[in-house]
Amino acid sequence: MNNEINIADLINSNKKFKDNEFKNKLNLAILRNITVDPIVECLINDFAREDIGLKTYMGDFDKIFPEFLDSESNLFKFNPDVIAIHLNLSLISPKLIYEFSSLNKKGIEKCKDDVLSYFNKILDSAKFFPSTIFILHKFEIPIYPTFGIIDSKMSSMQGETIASLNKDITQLFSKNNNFQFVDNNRILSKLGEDRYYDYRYWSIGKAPYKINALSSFSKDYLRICRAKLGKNSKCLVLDCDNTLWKGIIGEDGISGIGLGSTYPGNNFVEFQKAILDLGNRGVILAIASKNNHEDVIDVLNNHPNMILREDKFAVIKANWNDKPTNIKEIASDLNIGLDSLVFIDDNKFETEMVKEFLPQVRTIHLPDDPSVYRNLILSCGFFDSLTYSNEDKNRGKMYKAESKRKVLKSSIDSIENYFESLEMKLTINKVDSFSIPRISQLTQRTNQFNLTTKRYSENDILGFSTNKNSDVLYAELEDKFGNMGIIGASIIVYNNLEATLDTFLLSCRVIGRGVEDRLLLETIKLAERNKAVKILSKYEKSKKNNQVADFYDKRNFNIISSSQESKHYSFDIGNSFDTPSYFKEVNILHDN
Amino acid sequence: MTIEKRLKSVFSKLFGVQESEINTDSSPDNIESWDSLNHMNLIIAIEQEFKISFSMDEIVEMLNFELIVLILSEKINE
Repeated sequence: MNNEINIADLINSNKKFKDNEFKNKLNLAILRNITVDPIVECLINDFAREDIGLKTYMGDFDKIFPEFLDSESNLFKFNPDVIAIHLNLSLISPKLIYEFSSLNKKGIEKCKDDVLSYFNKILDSAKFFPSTIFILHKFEIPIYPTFGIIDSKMSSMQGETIASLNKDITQLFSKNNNFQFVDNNRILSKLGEDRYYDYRYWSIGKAPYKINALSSFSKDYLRICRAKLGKNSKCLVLDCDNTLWKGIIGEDGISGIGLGSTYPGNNFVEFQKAILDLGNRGVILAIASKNNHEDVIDVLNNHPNMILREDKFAVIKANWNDKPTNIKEIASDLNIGLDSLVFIDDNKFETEMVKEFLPQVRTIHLPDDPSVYRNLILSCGFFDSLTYSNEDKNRGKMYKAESKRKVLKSSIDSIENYFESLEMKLTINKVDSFSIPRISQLTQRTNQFNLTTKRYSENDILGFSTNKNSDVLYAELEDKFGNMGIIGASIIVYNNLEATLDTFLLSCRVIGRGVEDRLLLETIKLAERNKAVKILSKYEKSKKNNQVADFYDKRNFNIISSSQESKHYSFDIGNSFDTPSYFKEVNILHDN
Repeated sequence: MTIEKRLKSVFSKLFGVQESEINTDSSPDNIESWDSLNHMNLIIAIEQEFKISFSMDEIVEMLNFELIVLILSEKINE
């Protein structure tokens, strides 16, 4: 968030935007009593990235009121949609900045009144530009007051004087929604003195700001204009696992997820508090999670440290369908446009898929470090609006909609194209000494995509792998986002012409991508090479593996018997089922 | 890469001219987009490219390509 802005790259990038057809166009004028020229390149770039084509006009140095009062002025001819005004306090009221200790109480009041009447004149001028948005800046509190340490304590001194001046100024414009403010003090505190002020350029050319400061102003201007254009978002759609809490509810269970006062769960509590705060100011909250509905509701209502309870969400889509389909349903349930949604997920697979199929939805991919989540959601600016009232506050409550639990068929046609674009590389191999620990771990931990839920120690796996009558296979997956390591395993046991699938499981991170089909196929082929003519398998029902109840049924396995607790299957070698063709690479590393 | 080459690359990006068009005679007089607006951008870009910080005395001397090369050479060899 505090990156260095490279001006040459900006200018180069802006050349490419020059010939773009932009969805929106804006005329932005800058009036100023200081030099801020590099901000123009920042503005053109920031706005272009939001599909807004910007034309800019830089008023002459310290020429502000003549622009307003002369109907033939360049400002009028420019026909601005937005007028930003940069004023430096040391030039409007030099005594307040340079001679503060010479002022008595009356003197300070006079200085403040003079500045306020300056702004009153600006307010008056607004009548010549009735539909224009004005952007004003709050004055910086001087970092080095003449009174030194005591200035921080006494309300009659410089720091408090300028703070109260800022307050009076914003108060002046409180009834006019066309006037918006940038708080320079927030930006100064975010960047720090060295990255904000340029004392050399201030001296040479009355240019007080470094490029990073100007870039920060530019981003605030964008937020204001985006809100003016009605391009702000109304609804925040959240993933659950590793987004609202640390861990995976379907695997770790309600007492195993991280959410509480200690690391790392505390980061997620903070994140939830920020989301709740957004909800209370009018942002609609929704969930799109790949989980069993009951598991999610259980956490929402029964976890002691959960901040966001079920009733805070207008819609909850927790199922095994793809997220773009769920998000489309959320938009339609709430009767709002897709472009009013913001989607957050820690998994790049999900955010990229949503970007691909629903480009109007704004996506935020959460990085690995959860300590930044809270700031990320609070700084994104997607929910900005130019007004705030009690109606906004209550908006979230009006949207509580019926959450539909029915798992609908995916409405995405070209999911296979998306999978192909992931450039997935699948490796299937027999277990070795390096992979035994991981495979044992998978059998201990995998609950949802696990057909028989048999738990094995490393010794057990070693036993299966060294025994002539059994084999252990693992699947390893890599895609363009990274290497996921070993994410699936199968154990097959031979008995004359029959082979039994003792274990078949997949990490829940890769469910729905076809890895299971390929692993199953290779397991069957291995059995065939070991003289089997028939495969036997079983679905052993558990509390958590409901989603694989029909796994074998859907792959042309025949049901031999079934009961409340289990289903037994057989599969004749020579039979077949569909396997995906969109993997970029499939490496079968074992040669027998 | 020499100082000249790197500087020409910055000029090229900033002023939209080919590197081959830039030489020791280049100045605001013969490069169209080198105006006072862009002059500040130029100094910032040079500081970012060479990862240095000019003093005020140096900045006010940087009036044309030749002078900039001179000041840069002295600064980098310090």
